[in-house]
Amino acid sequence: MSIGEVEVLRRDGSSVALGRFWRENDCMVMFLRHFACPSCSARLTAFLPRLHELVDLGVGVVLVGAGSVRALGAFAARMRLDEGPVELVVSPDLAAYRAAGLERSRWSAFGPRSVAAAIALYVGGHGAARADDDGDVLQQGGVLYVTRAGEVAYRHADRHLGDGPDWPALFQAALASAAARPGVLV
Amino acid sequence: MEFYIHAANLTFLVSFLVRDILKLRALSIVGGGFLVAYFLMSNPVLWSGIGWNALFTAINLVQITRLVLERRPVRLSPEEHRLHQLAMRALTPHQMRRLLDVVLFTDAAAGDKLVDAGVDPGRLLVVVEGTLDVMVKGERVATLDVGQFAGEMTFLTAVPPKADVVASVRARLAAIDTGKLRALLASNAELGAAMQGILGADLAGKLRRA
Repeated sequence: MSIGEVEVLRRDGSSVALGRFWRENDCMVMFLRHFACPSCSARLTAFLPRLHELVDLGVGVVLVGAGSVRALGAFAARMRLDEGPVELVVSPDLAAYRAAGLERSRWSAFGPRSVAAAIALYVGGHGAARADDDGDVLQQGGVLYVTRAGEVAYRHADRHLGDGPDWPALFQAALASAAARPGVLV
Repeated sequence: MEFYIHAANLTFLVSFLVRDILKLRALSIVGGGFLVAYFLMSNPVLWSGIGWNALFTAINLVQITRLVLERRPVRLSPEEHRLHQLAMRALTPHQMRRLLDVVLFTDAAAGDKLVDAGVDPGRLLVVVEGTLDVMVKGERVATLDVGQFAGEMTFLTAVPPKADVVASVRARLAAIDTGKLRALLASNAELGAAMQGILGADLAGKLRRA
């Protein structure tokens, strides 16, 4: 099954194909680990100040979680994502993660680099108390940038906690896609 | 002689208490000086200790020089200041100073063709004064006003421009060499991120108007 065909759940529990989000506009899809993950908290903290740059270019932003719809709501409230341009969905069966080719292993979650990163992230104030339905702790996250043509222009799959996308490369993909639209001539 | 050991360690102690990295490095040099005095008065002279301290002092001096240069106020000419305010407000003054290394201010007379359709212009143009016309097959399809860019499509996609750009009136432009700009942005991640934001805002404006 292609990534665009995978069904994910919205906050109201309704189901939607992930590809729906890049049918009309480019889309950045950020896959989170479990909702208490300190690495994901740090990633969002780094990304959110630049969110408007993507929104201004007409790029959709979707966060995919691995937990339940209930846990998604709690996460949205904690990260102040209740309102705004970010779409929040979950893939509790991890089908979207598998379709995106993301890592899931004990080594990636509990290897020495992950442990070292987790300590640094918790000391830095990231992370939260974990609930049972926050999602799979072995699952790693990642980021895709998909153009409205369905082409994956940027892909990053986390190898361990603390790993993250090359943001300049991702924004470069967004800018290049915007610059290639018909309305831009020079 | 023990005075020098105590003086060195007291200086290091104070250096660990200060929060300003510049003061910390300066105090480290002073503390190292006391240690060197101690090593020189020892019998035999402790050259290995002196050598290590000379190395630490050299490193601290280089870093102090960098810090001082970074903290010096940036002075921009009126024209550079205008460019900063018009198009580069997202850059800090120090980032602006670095960008100006690859900027050349130039004049264009009314009717001058600045970008040829199908030809990589090799530069980004920012309108500082005047206006530019975007022409497709001789017809004006858009106007670029002060603060707007020409050439970013080619800069971002490597696709040649789809239109000519002609000065509609006498214009003053900031021309940014794209090869040098790429090298500069590759060596400075923060400046790169800021420039992405600036180019993105300009693109978003063009897409809204299209």
